[in-house]
Amino acid sequence: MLSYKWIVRIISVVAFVVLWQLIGQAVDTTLFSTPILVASSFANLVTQTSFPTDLLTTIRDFAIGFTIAAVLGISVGIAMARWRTMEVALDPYVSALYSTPYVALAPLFVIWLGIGIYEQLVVVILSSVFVILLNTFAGVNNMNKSYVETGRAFGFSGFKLYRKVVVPGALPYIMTGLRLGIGRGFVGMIVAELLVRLDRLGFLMVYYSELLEVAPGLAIAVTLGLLGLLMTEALKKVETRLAPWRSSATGG
Amino acid sequence: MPPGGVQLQVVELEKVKVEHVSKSFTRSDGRGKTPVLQDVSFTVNDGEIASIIGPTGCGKSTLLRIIAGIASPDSGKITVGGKEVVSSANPASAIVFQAFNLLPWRTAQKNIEFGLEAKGLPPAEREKAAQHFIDLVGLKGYEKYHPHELSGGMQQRVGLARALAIEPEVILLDEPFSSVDMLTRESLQHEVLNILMETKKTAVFVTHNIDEAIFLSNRILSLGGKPATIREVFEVDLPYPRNDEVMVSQKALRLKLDLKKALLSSPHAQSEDPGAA
Ligand SMILES: Nc1ncnc2c1ncn2[C@@H]1O[C@H](COP(=O)(O)OP(=O)(O)OP(=O)(O)O)[C@@H](O)[C@H]1O
Ligand SMILES: [Mg+2]
Repeated sequence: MLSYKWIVRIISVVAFVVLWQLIGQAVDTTLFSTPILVASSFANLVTQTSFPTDLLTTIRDFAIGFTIAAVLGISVGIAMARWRTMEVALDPYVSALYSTPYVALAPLFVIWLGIGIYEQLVVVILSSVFVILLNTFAGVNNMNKSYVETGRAFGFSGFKLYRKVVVPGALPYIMTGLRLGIGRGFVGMIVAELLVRLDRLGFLMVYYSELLEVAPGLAIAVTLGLLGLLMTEALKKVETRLAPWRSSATGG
Repeated sequence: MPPGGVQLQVVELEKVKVEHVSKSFTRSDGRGKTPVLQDVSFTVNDGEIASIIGPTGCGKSTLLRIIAGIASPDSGKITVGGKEVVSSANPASAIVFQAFNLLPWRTAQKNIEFGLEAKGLPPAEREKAAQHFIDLVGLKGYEKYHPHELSGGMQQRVGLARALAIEPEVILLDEPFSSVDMLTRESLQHEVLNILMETKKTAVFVTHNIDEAIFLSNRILSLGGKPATIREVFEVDLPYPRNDEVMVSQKALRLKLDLKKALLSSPHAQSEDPGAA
């Protein structure tokens, strides 16, 4: 059964595609392209270029990097909230590094690590880890005091208290951190591809754009957009399962 | 209900011992400290049901938290079941919070199982115990609901079931029936009293309600003053069950008047401290 939400979404997408097709045809198909042209260049990309393998490598590198960033960000965030010394010691770095645009440093990573998976991982991790860390830290600090009090009162302590009370209590914040981290990490990776590595999807997209081959450029952009959408939706699903008391307000 | 005319089976053994407990809170504006409890001492014997009454803001919840081990006194000593309460790891007692303190990510049933998880009970046993207490507090059918989907009174009953489920030696109840209607309140009072008497548990109730204190307890402590201390102790020399007839007996009415006087004579905590809640 289609929900109201999905019906509206589908109508909106169909309307957009039709409108684009009409305007593209009427004005200039080379400059604005059309959905039909984009679809056919997508087919070309898939059958005749390195696009499929590039896409898979991009997804793989991102998945590995983001998983590391998530584990690192959540655990260090919790540790900083738990131990004041940790907080005092790490806070200056975190604050400074949080707002550093890592893509700008990507050339350095390439010099240090060469072009390969490692330099991509470093870009993804550094782009996303701090926003995850800071949100986790805020989540633990801003958590309703009564949760921990209740945990203690019923005999939880140490690691078990963290697993059963602190982490689930901070989950809404952690989820926000992860969502923001996905965006930052993904953009960071694509930009590194197009600016520094000069290969894979990011570069391919720019390459076609500069040749004024709008249709394949857009085909790649749409693919990346859908990928981002997919990841965000998946995360929302996880959030609805794990933190139902928060998502209930938005009817998820 | 046990047959008429019974008394609590109290063993002359100090189950809860509060010795010279004082507590003050640092004011958030940093301008000194507000003393809340001053040299509070009392004992509750094994099998006793004690009630603490006192005006709002006088420190009843604070005292209960200290006994539960989740707040520490500035000075003084707490002993529960022969062991000094130093930290929260005190499985001998369970607390029913005034503000319920349910964990929002857990269903009603999972909230009730919470304390049993800490004890390391296997899931099947936890479920069985939880189900028993869900039935008891009248929440059958609401097992899978999350706290935000329950009414205040239902949440309060989940909190009550959670504490009862771990079958503690000592149960601390902070106005556990405050959010339910009168009829539910009476039936819960009966149920809880039954459990306490059948299992010979020791209980400390906090309540505003004089009738409730008389109905439940064999001893009533009046807390009052600023900072608060135990001002008077009333023995409730009435047989259980305290049905309507017992409750309107000469003795009961006399006690009610005395308790009312004790409450009224306590300076109202809020008059001096506008921040008190
Ligand atoms: N965590 C805290 N920090 C600062 N002050 C506190 C804190 N907890 C309680 N107090 C203060 O201690 C006093 C006693 O509070 P407490 O909650 O124990 O009162 P109470 O007797 O339970 O009141 P009520 O009947 O309204 O529940 C109040 O003046 C309150 O402002
Ligand atoms: Mg209170």
